[in-house]
Amino acid sequence: MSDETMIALRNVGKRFGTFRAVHEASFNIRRGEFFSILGASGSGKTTLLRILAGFEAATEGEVHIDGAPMDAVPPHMRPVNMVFQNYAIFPHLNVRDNIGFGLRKLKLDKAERARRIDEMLELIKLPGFGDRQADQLSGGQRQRVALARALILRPKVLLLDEPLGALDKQLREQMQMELRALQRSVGITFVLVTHDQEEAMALSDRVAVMAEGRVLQIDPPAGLYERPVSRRVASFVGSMNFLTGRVLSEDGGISHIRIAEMASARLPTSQLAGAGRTPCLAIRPERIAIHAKPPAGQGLPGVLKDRVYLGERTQYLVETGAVDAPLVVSVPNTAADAALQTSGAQVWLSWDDAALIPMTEN
Amino acid sequence: MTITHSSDGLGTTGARRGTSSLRRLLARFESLRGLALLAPTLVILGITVIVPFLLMSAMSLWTQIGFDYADDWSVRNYTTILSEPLYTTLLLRSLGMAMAATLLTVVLAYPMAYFLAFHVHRNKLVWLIIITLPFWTSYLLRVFAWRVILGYEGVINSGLMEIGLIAEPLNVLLYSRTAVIITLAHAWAAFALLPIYVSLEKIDKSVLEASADLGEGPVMRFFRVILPLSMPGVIAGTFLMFIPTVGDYVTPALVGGPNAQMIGNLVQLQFGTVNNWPMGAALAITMILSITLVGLLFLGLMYALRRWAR
Repeated sequence: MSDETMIALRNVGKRFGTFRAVHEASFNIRRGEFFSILGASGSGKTTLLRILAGFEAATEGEVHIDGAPMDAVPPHMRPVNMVFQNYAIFPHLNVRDNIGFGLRKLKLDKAERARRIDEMLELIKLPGFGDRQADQLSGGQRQRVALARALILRPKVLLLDEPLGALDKQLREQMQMELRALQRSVGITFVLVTHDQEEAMALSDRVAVMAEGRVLQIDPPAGLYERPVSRRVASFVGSMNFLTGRVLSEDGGISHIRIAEMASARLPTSQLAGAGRTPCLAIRPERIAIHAKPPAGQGLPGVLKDRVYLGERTQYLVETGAVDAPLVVSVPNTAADAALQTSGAQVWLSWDDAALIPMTEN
Repeated sequence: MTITHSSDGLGTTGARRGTSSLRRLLARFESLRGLALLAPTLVILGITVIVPFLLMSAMSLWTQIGFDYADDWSVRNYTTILSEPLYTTLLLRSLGMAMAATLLTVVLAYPMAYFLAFHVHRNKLVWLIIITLPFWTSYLLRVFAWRVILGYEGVINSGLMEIGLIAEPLNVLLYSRTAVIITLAHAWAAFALLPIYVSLEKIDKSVLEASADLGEGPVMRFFRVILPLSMPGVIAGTFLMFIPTVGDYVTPALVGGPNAQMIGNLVQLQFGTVNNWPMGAALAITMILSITLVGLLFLGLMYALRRWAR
């Protein structure tokens, strides 16, 4: 294990009876990294986080934190701290005592204890709130107190279980920025669990996508968005169109793929490895161009079904006959074409072959 | 918008306007709504508690002379109570025995409530029913049951003799203060257990995980989080148990014997055989005041403990 690694999971699994909540999770989380686990509810992401915290014991595999095996270490002995989903603020203590709760074991003198708590109140931008009772705090303030309470112990790893889920959109976006800045300034490894792909993308150095207890892909946000390994990951991260192609011929490492009448693509054969003779080809809505007149090269004809104005861009739904579901096309509004205002109009779609992402059906 | 008048002309307008203005009043003042909810209980409390209490207070200032009452108001009964060792001894003994029974019950009920709140995940209702099962029988029967258990030829004595631990029956079991304390502790257990259970059940489990996460082991988790958060239940349970047991007279009468009589027995005597109602009333009032005093001291102690524990 290298010095770079803070958390190492080796074939970690968790069964509840016959149900497998986590299935053979093996990956490393680097020192100082902001790592997210992204998944729908029931994907096993929270179970995985709770295994790291020690609240659940893995039924298979090993967890190492900072090089030390964790299997016999109870939660209160682990070098990690957690921000709980509902914040779990102690209702019988005021803000100061909540933040200072974990300091008892450090046996600090009164002045040092007070200094550290003040420092934390400053960090979470709540100076002067020390004497407030827990029930006098708003959601955002509770979230900050939960954060301060964990960070004051200077853990090696901070675990965050959907920390922003309970906040409204505006506050959530503001807290995302603050969380990111905080993580950079304290330099602690953050592991965040979320079902919000935008949050994961905005905050993380790397994201692990989980579904049905399995880790499907681990990549930096850009890699996840641009090169999803499977249809599942692709549909979870942003919106995506799926086309089905058929390999017609191969020539000099380039495969010629027929997608529909009037639409074909040339892709490096190496990219198609494992995708079979009828690969699934995914394409992002913003990578498709929409035309009111037949384009110069090849264009897939279709009928405009619907048009949704989204402020900075417009989304078009186009029925093509090439696939069952209508294709989603997203165009920045600076380039919006006046001819595309009416639904029912005949349109043509085109794309750069490099924008097609071949993947397996799953 | 125009105001439509009632067109039925049968004089219901006034009544209708009356209810609507009452409704408006209730909607505007939340405290009034609370009072409206309390009203029936307050009426019953007034008739069954406050009026009798005032009557008792008044009567305690009378003096019994033979079959008659002296025609002046005086605190003679109270000075007698405070100067006569019999009364003060009995009063202090009652408070002491009730405290012992309460302490015993709270200490024993707490783990049970804890188990129920944190370790029973299914069929909680069944467990609750089992725990409160003794309360399905009458109080008197429960006390008699303890006579059967503690008696000279009772379950414990015959059991101990059977296994050869003792040669002849112990006669310290029944008719002793211990017998009264044990019986009270058992007979009132649910009154202490249920409030403790409710306050433990209310504790958010993630708060316990948070305290573990912040470095506290099981023992400190209990003292820093579980106990303070369940304190309202402990205090409620203590009061629910302590207040009625101080004045209990059935249990000491049936399992107590001469050395374990309590203030309730004396009050009963004054109203019965002795036929000195003013003295009985004064004793009852003294008892209520001392319970209040002990209760306030207890609350003060809890408050101090809470401040100290921070």
